[in-house]
Order: sequence, then structure tokens, then C-alpha cells
Amino acid sequence: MVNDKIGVYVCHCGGNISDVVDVYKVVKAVQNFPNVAVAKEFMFMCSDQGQQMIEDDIKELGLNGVVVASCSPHLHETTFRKVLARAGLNPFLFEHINIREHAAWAHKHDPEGATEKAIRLVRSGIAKVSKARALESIRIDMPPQILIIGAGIAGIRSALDLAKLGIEVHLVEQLPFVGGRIAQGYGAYPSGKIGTELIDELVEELKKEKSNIHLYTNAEVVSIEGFIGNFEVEIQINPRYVVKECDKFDEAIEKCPIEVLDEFNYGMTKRKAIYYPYPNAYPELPAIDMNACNKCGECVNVCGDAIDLDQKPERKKIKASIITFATGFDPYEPKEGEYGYKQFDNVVTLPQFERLLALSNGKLEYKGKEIKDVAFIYCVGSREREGEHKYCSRYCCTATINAALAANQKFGVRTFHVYRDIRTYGKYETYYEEASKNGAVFLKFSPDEPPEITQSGDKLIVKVKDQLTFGEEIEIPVDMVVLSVGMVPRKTEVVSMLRVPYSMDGFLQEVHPKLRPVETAIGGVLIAGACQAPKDTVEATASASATAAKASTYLLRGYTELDPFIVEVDAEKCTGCGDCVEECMFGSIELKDVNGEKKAFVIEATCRGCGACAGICPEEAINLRGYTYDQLRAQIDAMLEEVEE
Amino acid sequence: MVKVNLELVEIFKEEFGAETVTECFNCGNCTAICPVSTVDHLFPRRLIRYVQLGLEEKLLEAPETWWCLTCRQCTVTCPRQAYPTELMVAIRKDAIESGRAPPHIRDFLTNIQKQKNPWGVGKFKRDQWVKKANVEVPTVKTNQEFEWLWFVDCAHSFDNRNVPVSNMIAEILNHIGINYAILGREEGCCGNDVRRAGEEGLFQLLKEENEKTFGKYGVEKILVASPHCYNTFKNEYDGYEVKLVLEVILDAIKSGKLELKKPIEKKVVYHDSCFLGRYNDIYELPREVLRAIPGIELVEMPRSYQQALCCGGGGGLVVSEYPGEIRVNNERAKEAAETGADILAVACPFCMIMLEDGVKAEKVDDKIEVKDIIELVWESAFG
Ligand SMILES: Cc1cc2nc3c(=O)[nH]c(=O)nc-3n(C[C@H](O)[C@H](O)[C@H](O)COP(=O)(O)OP(=O)(O)OC[C@H]3O[C@@H](n4cnc5c(N)ncnc54)[C@H](O)[C@@H]3O)c2cc1C
Ligand code: SF4
Ligand code: SF4
Ligand code: SF4
Ligand code: SF4
Repeated sequence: MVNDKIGVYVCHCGGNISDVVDVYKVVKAVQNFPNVAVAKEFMFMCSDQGQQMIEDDIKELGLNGVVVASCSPHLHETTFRKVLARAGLNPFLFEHINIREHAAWAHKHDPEGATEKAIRLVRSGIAKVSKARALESIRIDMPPQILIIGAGIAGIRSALDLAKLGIEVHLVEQLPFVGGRIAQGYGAYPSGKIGTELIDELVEELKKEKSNIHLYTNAEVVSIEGFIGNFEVEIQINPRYVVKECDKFDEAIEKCPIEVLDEFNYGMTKRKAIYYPYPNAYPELPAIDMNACNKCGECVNVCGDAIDLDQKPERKKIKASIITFATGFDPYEPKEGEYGYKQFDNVVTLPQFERLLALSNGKLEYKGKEIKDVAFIYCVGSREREGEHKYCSRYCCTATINAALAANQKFGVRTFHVYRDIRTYGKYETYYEEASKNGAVFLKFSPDEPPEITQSGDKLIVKVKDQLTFGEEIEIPVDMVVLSVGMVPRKTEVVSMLRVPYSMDGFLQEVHPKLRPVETAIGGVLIAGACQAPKDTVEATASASATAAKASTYLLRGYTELDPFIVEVDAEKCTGCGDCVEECMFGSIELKDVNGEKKAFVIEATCRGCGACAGICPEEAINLRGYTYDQLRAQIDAMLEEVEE
Repeated sequence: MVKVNLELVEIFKEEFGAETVTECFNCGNCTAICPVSTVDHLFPRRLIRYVQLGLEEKLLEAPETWWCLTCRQCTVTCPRQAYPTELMVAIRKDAIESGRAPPHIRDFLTNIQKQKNPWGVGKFKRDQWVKKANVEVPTVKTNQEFEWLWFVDCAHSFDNRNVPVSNMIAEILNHIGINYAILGREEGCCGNDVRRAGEEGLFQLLKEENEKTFGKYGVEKILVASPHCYNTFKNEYDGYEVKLVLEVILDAIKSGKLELKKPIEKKVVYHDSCFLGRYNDIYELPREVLRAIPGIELVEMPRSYQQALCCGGGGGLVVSEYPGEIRVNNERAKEAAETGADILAVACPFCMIMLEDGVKAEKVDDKIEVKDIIELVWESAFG
């Protein structure tokens, strides 16, 4: 099939084009080209008059294809597609040729050459449109259901926003309790609220939205299949062994004979096998850690059938139109010996120090020793010159100063800050100012000469070549060294189930940091919170609410439309070799049996239209719609045709 | 290798008035603006840093402690209100306390302690200028009903270049009809620069003595010509109404009590005194008086108002050989001469001494002449 009545419209762009390219010559050179019905030039094709002219021509001359030669398609491709649609022509029977940037501007000093290039480009456009096919956008139904993985502050925030719109949310948390990392913090900047209090507030809202939010704790995603609008997810809910309310849990916990290191307090304290991580944790039922439990039955003696030590894991199938990852981050774990970590007793990480602050009363004590002077080493595990963590973790400067202020106010601790650069960006500059006022001492080191930690008697000695003191080597005797560790990407398997792309630094990657900040390259998969990049809670909840807004644009409308530029398989030509299946990085092609023969099938909803499979197929059985082999060949031939003087 | 010592920092904060030292975030603006800082010395930031970490041995080694002019250019420039000038004073307090004042400062302080003036001239000679004066100068004894105590100050009592100005002040005050008196031999030193040299104890002593004398004669209002006295009486003594002679003059001009008749057809450039400008925000008063004199064309130096360069006479340096590398009085004299002005007008007796030296050292004394604004007023009114 050939589109044989093509209208060609060459734009002056008010001189931007016509000052260099001879637009009249272009019109002349293409008006007798095969399949061209009409060719015109005009001062501003995008103006109302220009658009009207094209619309009228389509209707009056019965055009079945349009080429506009003007600016960049980024600017006006959509404009002209809409003109076609208004005139009743399929909007994909259109080609936008850029003779401004590609001819006029690129070859300002060679008007003749520019004109020849413009002619060749326009002809190639005509050839392409002549072989174009009418295409339809792909419509996908979107029932209002969503899966959110991770119930940290970001996951909960996103869940609440969506539930309030009446959307059904499945919120899956791998741990027995919700809240994520911020619950482990002490007074969180900017408000100074204790982390657990922040979570408490969200939990109160969560309780009100029970009808729309299904919360699964102690749960993991086992498999995900399907695509945007139609994800099928299987989760496993691991046993909590505490199955219903009982008012004697405290007694049961007391009776439990097993004690293990408490991971919530980074191993600085111990907990029982049946436990709450902290007093107000949610859900309210305690959990039993079966790795520690010896099934002695002491707790059962107290709580009876509220505890079931033989509870079995449960599997459940969930349907979701969209999936949001809110899987968070891990604090960087320093290597043994890195700034004396695990080498000297009183070298701890910032997360540990915050737990210490939360757990201490009256005076700050660690391992039986009072802590009066503390040195903080900044950028540990961030901004590495070599190594994976080249980025700045953003939260640590402010969190460190915030913790130092709290330590000073609550326990009179004197603080030394051994830093590379202070990045208390934005409003948080006031924390830095306040710390300076309160007598915190700042010393700046160069990454070429990092500080050294040694021990002398019962003191740790931090040796630093201080750039603020003109490179003087300075010794600071302290009782504790705190390493301000960065955020590192959390490795979780669910991510690979969907092939969500990572950025260079290992965090989940958005499509475009400015224009599409919460979507991933996988259709229908969104990212919220610190799984995307180092974020503090302010940024984590902002992005969480953004994912909710994004998801609701699909879920409230009930369907979505995708660009038609995806691939199609010619079953006649396909030999079933499977090369394309391997080539596709989105898993969008699969082989199916058709009457005993293997044939490739495209999963339209997830195909991104990259064309990689079309390139690899030895049989040319795959074509990218809108860019078919036929079209491209015709384009090349037309471009190479001689241009007469 | 040096060890951080926060105990010393506490002492600096509590004993020497360096409360603001921890405000400093080491930006270096003070060093950039300081007129006596040099590339090798990064003054005053380096010293501030030593205080922040309590590095006493480093402070002991540093020669720059005695460079500071207490001009306050750094203090008005500091983005963190760390008051670097005041921190320099704190460092001097520490040095003086531990007996480390250099000879020139020791002399300055001894002179004031013994003779109540920086030059060490016998204190009984303080009222000699009055005896030689050709005008009536009432004293607290001869005019017991005085309203204003004119505190003449050391420079206007002892320094040859400034004494004629005292005569003119007396004549002007008499003409306007101010009810005033001077203390004569009982006048002491105000202590402003003693304090800036870091000798807090002596300052407190002088202050006590002065307040005792003031009390004896029922002094409530003090009239001064020197910005140094003005600063300390106004801001560091309690309960006195303090006025500048220039204020009295301007009021009289405005009310018609003082008529400026004779035009002075000269180009005049005014040099801001640190203790008027940066210490007390008085920039327009001297200029207004100059503008009121017929004939004068007032011009400005590139560095004026808050950015004005210091004359170099603060903190005891008016009587000492300057220990640093840069002579600001010479630089200022050059800057003034480059404006093409005939007269460099000053409003401070120390600026007068320092800039006259500067004009001579730069050999521009044939182009520009240093004069007190009061001299110009007198010439126009009575000359
Ligand atoms: C020491 C320290 C101090 C801090 N101080 C502050 C502060 O003062 N102010 C501030 O604003 N921010 C602070 N932060 C940052 C704050 O902790 C983070 O911004 C916040 O925790 C990010 O929330 P999130 O929900 O994205 O991730 P997380 O808190 O990490 O939560 C992620 C959740 O997802 C769950 N999860 C992960 N993988 C899976 C999976 N596969 N399946 C199911 N569930 C999964 C996790 O168990 C967790 O509950 C601090 C961080 C640290 C380390
Ligand atoms: S926020 Fe501060 S401590 Fe953290 S990585 Fe960035 S510069 Fe280093
Ligand atoms: S590469 Fe081509 S021939 Fe092979 S399976 Fe895919 S479509 Fe069929
Ligand atoms: S007061 Fe003046 S001389 Fe002293 S440090 Fe500041 S700028 Fe320099
Ligand atoms: S005293 Fe002020 S100007 Fe000087 S370095 Fe400190 S903050 Fe900067």
C-alpha cells in the first residue's frame, strides 16, 4: 500500500530557515517527486493560518499523507499530528523533517549546500510517509489496585495518599513491624521529632484507612508476572507466631528465656525471642524470631492460643495495575579497621550513635564509660574517589550536626566535626550555624590525607591535618568516634524480578530526573523514597506523594494509552530461533507454540519500542511500527537520489 | 603536632570576652578586608582559628597579635557576626595577662598609668594649654553651675598639633553660649585605647577614677571632641549623656547662633574616623558640617564611609612604632592626595597626628594639608 497524495509544507520560520535555505527551490525540487500531491512554503507553518492551510488541503485535496519541513519535532510534531487528526486523517501518516537545526543552522555559511541537504531530507520524509500505515495508540485497562513494596516512611505515605482516593493498596513489608529506618533515628531534622513519633502519626492514619490498605508484614514478594495494568504478584506471609490479641504480652516477653542481640538497636542491646523493637511498634502484636526461639513454650503458658508456635507461612496472590518500590536504603557498613571501626571499642556509626542517644538517660554512657567528648568523621562511605559510592549521601551532614546538637543539649557532650565539606544545604544551614554558636569545633580534612584514629590510654586520638588551621596537624583526644556513614543501595531480589534498571551508583533509576522523576523504564513501575537515591525523610515523603499522584492519574481514569511505536512479528517469516527473546531487555518478547511451531509474540503493554529485537532478527521478521524496514529503505533511496541544479 | 584545648577556649570566652569566637566559620572575609593583612600571614583569621582550637603555643608565637588597628573593618564585614576585632582584643588580653606585652605597648600603658596620657608628659601639665590660650576657658571650679563637662582629652591637651584646635573649640563654645567647664588637671585618660590594647584591668581603673571625679563635680553631660573618648563614654561608661563638639556646632549653624561667613574656596576630602563611623555609625555629621561651610567642594576617597581605611592610630599605635608591614597612614595619605583635594579634613585628633605623618612620609604635603573640621569652621566663622 502506498500513500500517493502527500502534502509537503516547507516553513520559512520567519527567516530562521529561509535566510539560508532557499525554500522556494525546495518546494520546486519536491513538488514533482513521486506521490506528492501538493507542495507549499509558508512564513510560519505552526501559526493558526499555517495549520489551517494544511487542514484545508487535507480535506479539499483528499491528502493521505503529510510532511512538514520546519523546526525540530520536539517542538511541533504533536502540533501537526493534531492538525491531521482534526482533518480526519490518522495522525501517524505524518513526518516531521527538521530543516532548521539540521540544514539552516548547521550550514549557515553554505546556503547552497544547506538547500541541497534540505531537499534530500524532505524527499526522504516523503518516501517514508508514502509507506506509512495508520496506527492506533494502545489502550490498557487500569483497575484501581496497586502494590507498594516496603512500609518505611515513603511506602506508608504513598499508601495513605492512594487509599484516600479510594484505591485499593497492597502494602508489603518484609519485617514484622512497619516504619523503616527513620524509626531507628533519634530526633529527626527538620522538626526534631523522634523518628518513632513520626511513624506513630502515620500509623494512626493507617488505622483509619484499613478498608483500602491491606498491610502484610513479615511478607515477601515471591514472584511478579504481567505488565502495567495487569501485574500478578505472589507474596509469602511468613509466620509471626503471635496470632491474636492478649493483654499479657509483656509478661510473656519477660518470661521468654532467650536473649539475642537487638538489630533495631544495631546490636547495642539485647532483646527476647518474642519482642517488640520499641514500645509503640506497629502492628501491636509482638513477633517471635524463630531463628532464636527454642520453642520452650514459656510464652504460650502466659498467652495461650494467642501464640501459635507452629504457624505456617501463607501464600497469597495479588493483582495490581501499578507497582511502587519503596524499599529504602542501607546505612554503609564500614570495613573493619576503617577509621578504627571494629578495631577500637568506641568507634561507632551514626545510626548506632542515634540509638545510643535514644536509649541513654542522664548521662551518655557506652560500654560502661561516660562519653564527654565526641569526634564525628564525615563522608564515611560516601564521595569515594575510587569505589562504588561516589555520590554524596545528602542526609549525613545535617543528621550528624543534628545529632551533635542533641548530644550537646541533652548530655553536655562536646563535639568535634572532622569533615570534608559541610553540606547542610537549603534551610538546614541554620543547624550548622547553631552548632557553631554552641561551640562545636569544625576541622576540615582533604580526602588525600584522611584523619587517623589511634588509642592512648582510655582516650581515642583523632589526628587530622586541618585545612582550616593552615594544614597544621592537630590531635583531638576524645571518648568516642562516630562515623557519619552514607546511604548505600539496598540489594533486594524483587527488583530483578521486574528488571528495574539501576543507575551507576546502584540505586533504582528514574526515566528522567527532571521530567519523569518517579517513573522507571518499566511501564507501571514507580519508585518512592530512598531506594531511588540518598534522601532524607522530607525528600522521601515528597517523592512518595509524587508516586501516589502519578499512579492515580492512571488508576482514577481506569485506562492508559501507550505510543503505537512498538514492534510486530511477521509470523510467516519467524523461524522461532529465539534470538529476539534474549535481546529484549524488558522481557517483552516470548516464544509460544503455534500448531507445533515456535513463534515469537510481542507483549504489547511492556514493549518500549527500542527496536533491539528488530535489529537482531536474522529473518527481518520483526518490524518497528512507524519505522519499518520498508520505510527506512525507501527513505535512504530517496535521500541518495540526485538533486538537479 | 598540636593538641586541641577546649578549656582554653572557655577561658577566652569567659575571661577575655571572646564569646563570639565559635561563630567564626573560617570564611576569611576578615583577612580579605583587613588593611594590614599580608599574603603570608592570613591575619586575623589565623589567630581566630588558634583561639577556636585553644592552641596557646601557636598564639604565643604569632607576631600579628600587635598588628591590629582595632579599626573594625573586619567586624563590619564578617558574615557571621564573630566580631573579629573584639577577638583580636581578647587575644591581647591573654597576652597582657601572661606578661607578654611588647615594649611599645608596655610603654604606652605605663605612660597612661603614671601620667594619664599616652605620651608620658607630666600629668600636672594637662591644663597648660589653657594658660597659654587667648580665650576664656571656664573650669569646674570657676563655673560650678556648668551644664556640660567638656572632656578635653589627651591629644587636645598635650599634642602640639591639636592644642590650637582646643583653643578654637573654646572660642566657638563661648561664642555659641554653651554653659560648660573643663576639669583641668583633674582630667584623666578615658581609657578607650587602653582597653583596645588589651589592658582591661587598667581600663577599669581609669574608668573608676574618671567616674569618681565626675561624681565629685556632679557631671551628667559630657562634651568631647575625640571620637575615641566619645566611643568609650557613650558605650562603655554608664549613665552619661555624651555629645560631640561637632554636634553642638551643627546645631548652632542650623539655629543661626554660629554664622559661617567667610567662604573657603577649597576642595576638601573627609577621612572617616573608625570610632565615629564603624563604631558609632556617624558618617553624615562631619560631612554636613563641611557642606555648611561656604565655598567648600566636598569630594570622597574611593574607600569611604563603612569601607574607609583606618589612619592607624588605634589601640595605642598613635604613640608607637608600628610593628606590622603595612603603614595604613601613608596609604591613606596617598589615597587622599589622589583625589586632588587641597585639604584632608579629619574629625579626630589621632587621625590628625597619623595622617600628617603620612602626608609627609608620602611627600604629598605640598599638595594636601591635613586639617581638623573645627579649624575650617573656625576660619569661616572668625577668620
Ligand atoms: C543515622 C540516620 C539518621 C537520619 N536522620 C534523619 C533525620 O534526622 N531527618 C531526616 O529527614 N532523615 C533522616 N535520615 C534519613 C531517613 O532515615 C530516610 O530518609 C528514610 O528512612 C527513607 O525512608 P524510606 O521509606 O524511603 O526507606 P526505609 O526507611 O529504608 O524503609 C524501607 C522499608 O522497606 C522495607 N523493605 C525493603 N526491601 C523490602 C522488600 N524486598 N520487601 C518488603 N519490604 C522491603 C524495609 O524493611 C523498610 O521497612 C536518617 C538516616 C540515618 C541512617
Ligand atoms: S551529606 Fe555531608 S557527610 Fe554526607 S556524604 Fe555529603 S558531604 Fe559527606
Ligand atoms: S529473532 Fe526473529 S526469527 Fe527469531 S524468534 Fe525472534 S522474530 Fe522469530
Ligand atoms: S580591626 Fe582592622 S586591623 Fe584589626 S584585624 Fe580587623 S581589619 Fe584588621
Ligand atoms: S571572623 Fe568572620 S570574617 Fe573572619 S573568618 Fe571568621 S567568619 Fe569569616
